[in-house]
Amino acid sequence: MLSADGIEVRFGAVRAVDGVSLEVGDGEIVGLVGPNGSGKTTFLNAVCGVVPARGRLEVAGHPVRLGAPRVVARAGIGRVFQAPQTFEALSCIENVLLASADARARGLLGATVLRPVMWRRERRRWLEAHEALALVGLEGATATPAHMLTYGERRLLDVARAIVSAPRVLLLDEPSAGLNDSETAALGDLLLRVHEERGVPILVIEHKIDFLDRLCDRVVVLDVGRVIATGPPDEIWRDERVMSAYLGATRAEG
Amino acid sequence: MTDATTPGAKPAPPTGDTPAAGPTGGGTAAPYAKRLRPGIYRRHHYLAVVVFVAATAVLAPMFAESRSTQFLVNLWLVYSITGIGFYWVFGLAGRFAFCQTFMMALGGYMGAWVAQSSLEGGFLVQVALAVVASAVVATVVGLLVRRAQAFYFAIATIAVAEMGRVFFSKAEWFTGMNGTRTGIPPIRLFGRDYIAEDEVFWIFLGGLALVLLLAAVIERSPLRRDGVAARDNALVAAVVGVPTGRAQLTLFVLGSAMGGLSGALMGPWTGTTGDTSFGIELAIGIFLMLLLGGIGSMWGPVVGAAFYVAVPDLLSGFDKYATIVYGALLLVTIILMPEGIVGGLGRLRLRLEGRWRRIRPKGAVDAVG
Amino acid sequence: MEKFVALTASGIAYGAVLALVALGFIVLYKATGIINFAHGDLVGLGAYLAVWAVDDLNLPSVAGYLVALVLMAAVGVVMERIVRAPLRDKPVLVVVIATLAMAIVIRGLIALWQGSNPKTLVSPVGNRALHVAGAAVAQQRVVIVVVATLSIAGLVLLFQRTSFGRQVRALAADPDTAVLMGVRGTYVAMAAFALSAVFAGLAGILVAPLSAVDLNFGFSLMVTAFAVAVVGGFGSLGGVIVGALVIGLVQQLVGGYLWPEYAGLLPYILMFVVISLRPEGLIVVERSRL
Repeated sequence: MLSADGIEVRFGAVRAVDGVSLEVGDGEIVGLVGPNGSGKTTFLNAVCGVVPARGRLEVAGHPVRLGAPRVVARAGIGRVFQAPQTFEALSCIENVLLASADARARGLLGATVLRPVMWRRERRRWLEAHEALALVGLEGATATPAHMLTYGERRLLDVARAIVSAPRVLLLDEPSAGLNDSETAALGDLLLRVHEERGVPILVIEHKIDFLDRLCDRVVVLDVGRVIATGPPDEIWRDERVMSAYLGATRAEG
Repeated sequence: MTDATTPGAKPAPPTGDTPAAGPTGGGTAAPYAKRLRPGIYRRHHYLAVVVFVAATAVLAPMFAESRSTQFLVNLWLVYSITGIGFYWVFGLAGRFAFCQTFMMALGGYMGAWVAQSSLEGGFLVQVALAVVASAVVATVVGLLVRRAQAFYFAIATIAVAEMGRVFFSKAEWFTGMNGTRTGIPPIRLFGRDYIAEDEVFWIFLGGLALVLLLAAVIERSPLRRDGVAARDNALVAAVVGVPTGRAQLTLFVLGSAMGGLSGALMGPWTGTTGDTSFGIELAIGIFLMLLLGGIGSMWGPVVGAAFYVAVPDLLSGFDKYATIVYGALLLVTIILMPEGIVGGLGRLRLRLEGRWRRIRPKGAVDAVG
Repeated sequence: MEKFVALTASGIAYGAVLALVALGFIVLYKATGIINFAHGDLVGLGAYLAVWAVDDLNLPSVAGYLVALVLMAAVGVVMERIVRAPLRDKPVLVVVIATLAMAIVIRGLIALWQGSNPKTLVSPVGNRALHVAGAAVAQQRVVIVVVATLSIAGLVLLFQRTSFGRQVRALAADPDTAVLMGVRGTYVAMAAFALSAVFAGLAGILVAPLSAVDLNFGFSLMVTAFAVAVVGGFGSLGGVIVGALVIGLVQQLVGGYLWPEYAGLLPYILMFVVISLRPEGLIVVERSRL
């Protein structure tokens, strides 16, 4: 479903991502791990057009332009960022509605001349948004202004927003960061549910090993901007290269 | 929970509870959908517009006795129009635009030119062409700088204003001798002349009513949330699928068109127009109106314009100190009252209802995993 | 030929002034992230202060100018206290609006103090002209280029050799880390505001003898300097200097030969071309936070 080939991201002289190729197949949940600074988040940012990058990217067989945030949603990529990116001036449901899969009649024409059409689509969008909120457990907070949510709730709101766009692949960046154990377990349940009910392949950056073991079919390990190992979770931790990457002595930055 | 529809002003606007054929599940869909609609649709925008227009129509003639007060009322109405436009550009879309007064000047010149050239266009033609002219210029500018971020955009709009100034001073075929056009014929609509202040009042009130209606329509549409998203975090909004460029361009063009409209209204009202009437003091004034009245609401500029128009009247001997007072007022407003009057009132209400929790400052870096 | 020489001289002098104005607000931007929309009025204020020092205090020209510049530095510090200090935890946009407010406050104060009739500033070289290849070049223009070059050279040295310069560069690169590493943001900000104001005032003093000093004097100079900053690239001092010379020469030469009436539009047209082709923002802060 997602096929990234030779992704390179440079910040000045630093090669944050140095030729990473990875694939997420149709029914997979793939984990992306690596020590701090290994380029995981930067790789995700590259795929989402947030940083300029080189390489090739395909989603569902269609090539996707790199470095252009606008094409990301239409390509079917759903992204949840490391820090919750909530639009605090909007209510929860409005936050989710921003990402609605049906993007028609949302401009000036829809507001004025085509108002009946807009209403029809809006009602459908409200239904889908509500379903997404219910899926993550926020159905009671529909009309709540987003700035009143807790940190964990904002994270869930981001997930709902990513879901409602009917993505072809879901990219999550440390979704359990800042959550306690029970919240993390609930999040794991949620992701599995999303994966099964919506049939969406997932690429998730995480540090928590149990979380990864439970969720992922496959784990890809990055270090210093390169893929150093890939394999099923229970095996990957015993891989020598992975162990030395995590526990190894100081390395010079690439 | 019904929203009043405005009789006659435009085709009956759809309310949220029109039981149209439900999208799924047949008969239960419609009331279910109504429960789901975002909170903003529960506010009574249209009703508020009707109440405001009616109240103004009744109260203004009662309390505005002298010509000078009537003049101020009319000035308030016109400034409200441009203020609402600026609310769309800056308040809603978050575009720091410095060309609103340029648009007003353009509208004024365009209207006067249409009236005084061989076209001899009537009032409605003047206004229409002024709106079109400012919309076209705004579209061109907006497209050129479409992907420019905040300060590039601000600088570009200042440049537009400067370019306008240079152009206006040279193009005397358009702007008249020394950049001023005088002797603009008064407003003539359906065979009637509107010359006295209390006559012009009705024209201006009608114009503001239409603009307020458009504002209400926009508040109750996806365009509003797209604009807010583009304003607050354009990058994430784009990634998530919001058409940020298009939303901001639309709001910028609409807002600039309102500037053109207000400029075109002022010409036949005062009889003259020139870009000196739309100088930097008014530019700051428009900022002030929006910030003082409340940057987060379509009613903010209406409230702010009332203050802006009333203050010089209240302080005699004001003229010399005008700019300093406005500047100081702007500073004080920003430092102490960033949400303005309307926002402050809204916050008071929420506090009374016990639902307020402090908004986290934008840009706070949350705990990163 | 004379026209070419005259226009080129004008262009270089104009470019030099633009460079001064542009560098003034870019230094401030790099040190604090603030775009100072009152910069143009500071240009005007510098000229007015010089007029006052020479006319009312009866000082000899150069002494008067120096007094004006010292006062400008003080004005810069005052500005920092008013627009930056109370608004430090608010988004930069708010501070920028505050600078707008300051702009008209300064304008209003000048109007109160000196009235709105245009004034003239006398230069030590008076109205004398050099004769180069048959063209008359006002000596003031030479003075402008010389003084500007010296000041800019001084600025570059300041940036590269002194602790202040290093601190500014650190703040420009990453404000949070810089503060964590001991850069004292407030002192640097005050110094930057003062330096910025001095450069603005200097530009005003240099240009004033060539035209009249009035309330709008600095504003269009500032806007053209914005265009310079955009064309030359907001980040690099060298780019700005090159951009200033290019724009100055283009406006005078292209404008002088082809389009005299609307020559003033040329810098902005150039700026729009650059913006539409190269729309990347000034600092891409948010990306690193994602």
